[in-house]
Amino acid sequence: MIELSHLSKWVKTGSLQTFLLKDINITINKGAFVSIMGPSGSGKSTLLNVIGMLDDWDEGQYLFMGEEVGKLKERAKQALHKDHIGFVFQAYHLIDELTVYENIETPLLYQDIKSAERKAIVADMLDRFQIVGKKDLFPAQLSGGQQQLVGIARALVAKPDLILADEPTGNLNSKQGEEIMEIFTRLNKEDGVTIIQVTHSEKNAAYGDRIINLLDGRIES
Amino acid sequence: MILRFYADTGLTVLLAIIVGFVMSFGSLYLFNSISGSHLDITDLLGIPTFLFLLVIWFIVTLLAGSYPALLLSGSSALQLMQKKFSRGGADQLFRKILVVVQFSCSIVLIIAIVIIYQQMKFVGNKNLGFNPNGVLMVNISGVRDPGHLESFSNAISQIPQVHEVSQLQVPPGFSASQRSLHKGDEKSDLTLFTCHADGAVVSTLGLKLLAGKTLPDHLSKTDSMVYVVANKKVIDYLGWTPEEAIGRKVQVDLGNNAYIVGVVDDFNFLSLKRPIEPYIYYAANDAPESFNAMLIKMNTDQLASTMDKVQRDFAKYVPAVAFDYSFLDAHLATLYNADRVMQKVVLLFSCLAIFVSCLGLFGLSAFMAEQKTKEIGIRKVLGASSFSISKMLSLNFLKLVLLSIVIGIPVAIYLMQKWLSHFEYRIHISWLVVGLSATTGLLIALLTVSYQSIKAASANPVNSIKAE
Repeated sequence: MIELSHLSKWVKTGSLQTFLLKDINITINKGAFVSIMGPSGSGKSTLLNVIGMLDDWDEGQYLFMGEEVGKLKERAKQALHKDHIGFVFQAYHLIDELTVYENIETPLLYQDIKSAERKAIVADMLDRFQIVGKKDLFPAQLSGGQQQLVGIARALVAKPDLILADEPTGNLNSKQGEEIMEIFTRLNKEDGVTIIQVTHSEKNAAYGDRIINLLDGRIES
Repeated sequence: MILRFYADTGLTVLLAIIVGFVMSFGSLYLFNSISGSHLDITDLLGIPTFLFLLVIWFIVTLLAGSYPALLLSGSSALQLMQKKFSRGGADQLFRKILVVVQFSCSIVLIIAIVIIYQQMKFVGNKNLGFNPNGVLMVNISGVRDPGHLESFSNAISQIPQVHEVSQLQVPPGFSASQRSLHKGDEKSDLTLFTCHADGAVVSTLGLKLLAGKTLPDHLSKTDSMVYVVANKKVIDYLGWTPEEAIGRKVQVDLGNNAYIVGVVDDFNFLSLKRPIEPYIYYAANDAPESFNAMLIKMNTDQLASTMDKVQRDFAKYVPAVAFDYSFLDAHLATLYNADRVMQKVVLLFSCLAIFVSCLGLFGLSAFMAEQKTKEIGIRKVLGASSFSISKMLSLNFLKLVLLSIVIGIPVAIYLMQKWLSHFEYRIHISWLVVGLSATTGLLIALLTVSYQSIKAASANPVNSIKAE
C-alpha cells in the first residue's frame, strides 16, 4: 500500500543542511498495524505527515496504492488523502466551536455525501463509540479520553483505508490509552484498516505487528 | 503596565496626526476646488488648529489605548499564556458591530452618490420647455435711451451667427413680477408671474406656441390694449383650451384691456426644484415694468468672434454703459450650485468611507483568519480544499456585509428621498440602482476579505496544527 524509497527531507539554515528524514525505505502492506518509535526530534511526526501527504519531501519516491505521490497535482493528492486517509492527533484537534456531532460530520462535508446519508453515517459512528448521549456537547465539555474517541470517530467516519495516529494516547491516562489501543486493534483485525501510529510507549507499540525505530531521521530497525 | 499601552498608542496616534497634518496641506487645494471655499495654508498653522490636534491626540489615545490596556493587564499571566485566551462573545460581537456600522455607512454613501449623480444628470437633461443653449443675456437696465438699444439690436441682427434678438423684463431663472389672476367673479384668485417682453421672446427662447401668435413687436402710440401670451397653466386655471383662449380677456391686474393673443406650452422658468407656475408675457404701451435684459440667440460655433462683434456693436451704439453679459444655460446651472458641491463632497466622502471600512474589514479578516488558523489546519487535514476554506471564511464576512446592506439600504433611501423632495422634478429611486450599488459594495468587501481568506486557506496545515 505504501512504499517509500530513498526518501529524504531536509531544511537549510544558511549553508547548513539538517536532515529531518534521511534515506527512508519502508514498505507497508494493506492491513498492517505499524508503530513508529523514537526519541523526540527523530522525525516520527514528519514521516507521518509525509505519509499523510500533508508535507512535502525533497528527495526520493513515495508510492501510495501504486500511485507516485510526488508526481500528483495538488488536487489529485488532496482527493487521495481525502478518500483513503484518516488522522488521529495527540492533541485531538477537534474544532472548538462545533459540537461532537458536527465534528464527526465535518469530513463528510468535503465528500459530496447527501445530508440524509451523512446523518446515518454519523449516527452509526456515535453508536459504535457509545457517545450518542454526548453528541450535542462541545469538545471543552468532554474529558481527554472522550475527546480522543470523538477524534477517532471523526477519522473513521469517511471510511479510510489508512489511519495515521500521531501519539494518540499521549495526553491520556493509561486506562484511556488501553481503550484507544483496543479500538485500534479491533479496527485493524475486524475492518482491515491499515494503521500507522507514532508512539513513545513500548506498551502501546506492542499492539502493532511491526515496530519501526527512528533516530535522527534514519531508520534504525 | 497600563501606562506602557497608553504610551504605545499615544506614539502611534502622534505619528498618524503628523502624517495627516502634512497630507492636509496637499488636500487643501482639493478641498477648495470642491467646496468653492478659499482656505489658505496659513489657516492650518494657527494656534486653534494645534490646540485642536492636541485634544484629538489626547482623546484618541485615551480611547484606543484603553482597550488593550484594560483587557490585557486585567488578565492573569496564565490566562495570557494559554492559547485558549479570548474574551468570548461580547468582544467578537463588538468588533463585528464596528465593521457593520462602518460598512453600512459605505453602503449609504455608495447609494447616495449614484442617486445624486442620476438626479443631477436628470436636471441637466430635463426638457425645460424652452431652449437656454446659446442664449446670451445682456444687462440693459442701465440704458436710458431705447433708441440706442434699437440701433444695437438692428446692428447685431446683421451678424450671421445671431438668430434672434429679444428684449424683456427678466430672463428665465430670475423671478418675474407676481400678480393675481382672477377667474370670472370667483373670490379666489391665482398668483401668476408676469414679464414684460417683445414679440421675439417666443422664438428666442424656443417656446412652443400651442395656439395664436406671439406678442406684437410694435404698438401704435394710441394702442391701449395689453397683449398677453400665456402659458398652459394659466388657461388651464381659466378652463379654456388653447384655441378657445385666443382673443379672450384676462384679468391680471394689468388694466381692463388685457387679451390673450397666444398660448405657449408650460416651461420651467425657475429651477427644477420648483413646480411650473402660471406665467404670462405681455406687451403694452406704458407697461409698468421696463426691459432689463436683452436675449440674443446665437450659433455658438464661432463664439469668440461673434462675441467680439456683439461687444463692439454694444460699445458703439450704447456708449457709457458697461457690457454686462452672461449665458442663460450657465446661469441656470448656477441654480444647482449647492447640489453640485454636495455631489462632489459626497463623492469624496464615499471614497474615504469605503477606504476606511475596507481597512476595517481587512483588519478583522486578518484577525479572524489568525484566530482560526488551527481550525483551518484541521479542516484541511480532514479533506477540505483551499477553495472551500476560503469560501467558508469569506461567507463569514458576507453575512456581516449583507447585514450592513440590509441596514444601509433603508437609511440611504430615506435620506435620498428627503434630498430629492427638494426637487419638484426628480427621478424615482430605482431598485436596480440600489441593488447594483449594494452589489458593488459587496464585491469590494469580498475582494478585501478574499486576500486574507486565500492566504489563510493556502497555508500548510502541518505548521498550523503543530503550533499548539
